Amino acid sequence: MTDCLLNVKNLSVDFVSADYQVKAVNNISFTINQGETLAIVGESGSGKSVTAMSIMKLHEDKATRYQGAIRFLENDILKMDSPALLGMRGSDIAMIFQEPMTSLNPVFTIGDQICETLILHQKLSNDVALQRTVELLGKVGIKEPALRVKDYPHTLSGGQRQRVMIAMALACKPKLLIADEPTTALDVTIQAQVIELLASLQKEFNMAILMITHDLNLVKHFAARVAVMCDGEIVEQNKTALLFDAPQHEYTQKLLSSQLDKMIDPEVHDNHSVLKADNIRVAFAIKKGFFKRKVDEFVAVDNVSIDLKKGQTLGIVGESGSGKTTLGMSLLNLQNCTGTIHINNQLTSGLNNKAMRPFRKVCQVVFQDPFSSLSPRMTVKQIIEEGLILHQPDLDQQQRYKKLLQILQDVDLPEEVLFRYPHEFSGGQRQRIAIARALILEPDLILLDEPTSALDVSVQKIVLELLVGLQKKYQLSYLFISHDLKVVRAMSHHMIVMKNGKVVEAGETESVFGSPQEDYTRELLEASFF
Amino acid sequence: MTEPAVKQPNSLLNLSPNQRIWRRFKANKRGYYSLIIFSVLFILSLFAELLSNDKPLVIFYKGDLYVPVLVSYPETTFGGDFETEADYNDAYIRKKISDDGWLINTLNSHSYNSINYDSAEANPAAPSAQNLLGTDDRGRDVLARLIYGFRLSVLFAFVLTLIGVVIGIIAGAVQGYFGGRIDLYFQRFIEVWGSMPELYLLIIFSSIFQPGVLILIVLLSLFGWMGLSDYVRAEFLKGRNLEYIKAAKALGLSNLQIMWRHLLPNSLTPVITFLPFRISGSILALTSLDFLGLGVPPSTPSLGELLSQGKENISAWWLSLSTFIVLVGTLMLLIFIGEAIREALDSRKKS
Repeated sequence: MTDCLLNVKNLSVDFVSADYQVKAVNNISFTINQGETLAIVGESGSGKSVTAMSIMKLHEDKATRYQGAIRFLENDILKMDSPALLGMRGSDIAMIFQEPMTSLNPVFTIGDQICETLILHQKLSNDVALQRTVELLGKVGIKEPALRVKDYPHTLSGGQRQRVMIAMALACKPKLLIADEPTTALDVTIQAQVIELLASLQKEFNMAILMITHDLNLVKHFAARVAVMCDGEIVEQNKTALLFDAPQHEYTQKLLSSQLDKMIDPEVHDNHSVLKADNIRVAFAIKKGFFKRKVDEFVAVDNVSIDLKKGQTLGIVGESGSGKTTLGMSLLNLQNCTGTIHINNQLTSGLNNKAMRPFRKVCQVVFQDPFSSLSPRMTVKQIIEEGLILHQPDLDQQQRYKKLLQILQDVDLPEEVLFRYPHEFSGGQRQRIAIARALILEPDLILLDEPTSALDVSVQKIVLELLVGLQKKYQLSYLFISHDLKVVRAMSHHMIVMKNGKVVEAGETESVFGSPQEDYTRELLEASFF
Repeated sequence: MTEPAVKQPNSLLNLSPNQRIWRRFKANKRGYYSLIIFSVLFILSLFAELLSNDKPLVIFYKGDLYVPVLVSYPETTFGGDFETEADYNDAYIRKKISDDGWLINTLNSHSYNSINYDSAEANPAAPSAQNLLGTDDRGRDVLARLIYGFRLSVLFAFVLTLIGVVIGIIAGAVQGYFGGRIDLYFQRFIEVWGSMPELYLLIIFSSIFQPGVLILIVLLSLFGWMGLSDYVRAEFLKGRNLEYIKAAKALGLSNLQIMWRHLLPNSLTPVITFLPFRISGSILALTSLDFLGLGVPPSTPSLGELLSQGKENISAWWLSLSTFIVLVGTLMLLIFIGEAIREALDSRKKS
């Protein structure tokens, strides 16, 4: 026997139900040796998660048809019966999931949840299991583990929860760890820490890791071998370095080339200012006691001033909870704040709904999640023309339709989309519709709140290119909120870095990236370009 | 986990959400046929005057055509003695008409409050060729009372449900959309209002006011909106933080426009799901009140009153049995429809 741990051979997975059948995975083969790291890379819908779940045989039995073989050591997992599977899951093969917020049960302490695995698989007594749990938590870098075992999941941060998930997965010293997008939901600085932790634990336990991810950067630094999946098939498989140096398949090349370069002309012209805000402050009162007296306040945005010039982009960077979205909402008067805001040199802060209406035409928003930003019960035509009906009621139907066509052309969508509903479109197309909705009012300023975070890399690049093109064509100003430094670098002229509601660093994008002045900025940069 | 793209045939993709819901509804055969049967019965009952009436449909008398179901003719028209409206069940008038012409009766030649004086048996009389389902304790035709009673019950339920839905949606929408203090006070008000003993109020009011359909609708409406408003409130609370609502705000739409155009269409699922169940609940409410004698006045055709007669006259099996069948049939149809709607609106089910 060689040191081959997992051998997947000609695996196909079909999902069947009464009236449809989907081929999710089509005839793929790969192997993982003991202690090795294999990464499966692909965009959403490529079947990579389906593959991972098949290895644990976690799909609904009735609706799934497997073909091929998954050989783990000497056994074929696909031929195992339920008791054998239960014995294997969690002890020989363990799995960590993407979303640390939902993969821990909120009504049990983290200690209970880790002990459960130990008691179940290793038949340890309660006291010994607890002791082991404390050890494990210490190993995954949780401070004061003896106290923390009694904590409930909601008291932990996202990064800590992911550490707990890892501790849980490691509890029975698995031979294979399947990590399904383990860092996608985490902030960049925490991502780096979790990856380092996984790498060091891998050495210590000598386990193999199957990493499922869309993040090429991560793969480059972490995996020994890479398999690229597209539409349910593995299109290319190679050692990491070789694959990155000389990608063979067209799709791999496309994936690699979707890495972002500078997209804008970085030269800063001194145009007039479209949006100028001084000393913006947003605070939420913390109330306590029977009479709900205000005892303290939580400052979400603390004295932020910005100045955005015509035709330029200001990037706002920060980790989750840094107040960047709150800042954006207050600038558009969608969130109460103190401070002064001028749009096109007119004071807009403190205006009520009605007085604000003329300015609504000038500044528009595009949101992060293309699935919740379009009302599911309106046609695309209704969605896009709504603002037009409100702000230019004098247009007749024909004039409106002409404008609609013009905008669709701008965002590269064909005319027939007008009479369809949002659910028929992919994420990238929906984002185009959202952009069209913002653009049809001919605004001067668009607030882009993480506009590409929910999109696949190749789609991300196309949408960003579209945005840059529109900026040039219409001299638009963008307020670009993002956690992704690469995107901000590619898109923005100026940027500010936010942390805990305060501006840590501000300046021209290139100079901030070239010579960051603050420790926090440096830390961020290292984490995202490691 | 990223889900594999579900490949559906193109024709399905082009349907609007409502069309897809209708398609799913039709796929549930039991619910679909229940809807058809219920609609046919209801529409027929709307024309009850043409189906079951003591006045003939058409009379041909001495070369002239008369339409008694629509127009009231004095007895003198047909050679009688009185200026009052002709009693077409009277043997004397019948003979006069058949001597000089002909008449076409409705399918069941009794109205809901016409009394059969010619009955051979004592009232309540058992089913016979004259009264297909017998008569009640005052000699009125049971079939006719059932037809009119069904119509009244369903119409009453529709109106009650409509009022409840409108008030419920408005109350729920205001609470959910504005949230905060408005929501807080409104919820407390609902708690107080909801804890009032509905039945006692009805008993008290029925002794103060002249009982009638209108007063019943008002009284029941006062309490019927609360359950629904909770659901609508929850939907609005959930919806108001979604990004398309923020986008609508950024477009400059007023609160009313946002609530009406964006939130309401996306919050209707619980409302529509509950409609058939609310309708059947209202029918049941009216029936039980009538049964207790707190409902509509005695001359009005009502299923509850027939049931209570059935209770008084246990041996007159045709009273309770036929009413029971009508009532159970109606409620069952509505529940099947409701079940199918609920399934059709469940977006987790793929069509």
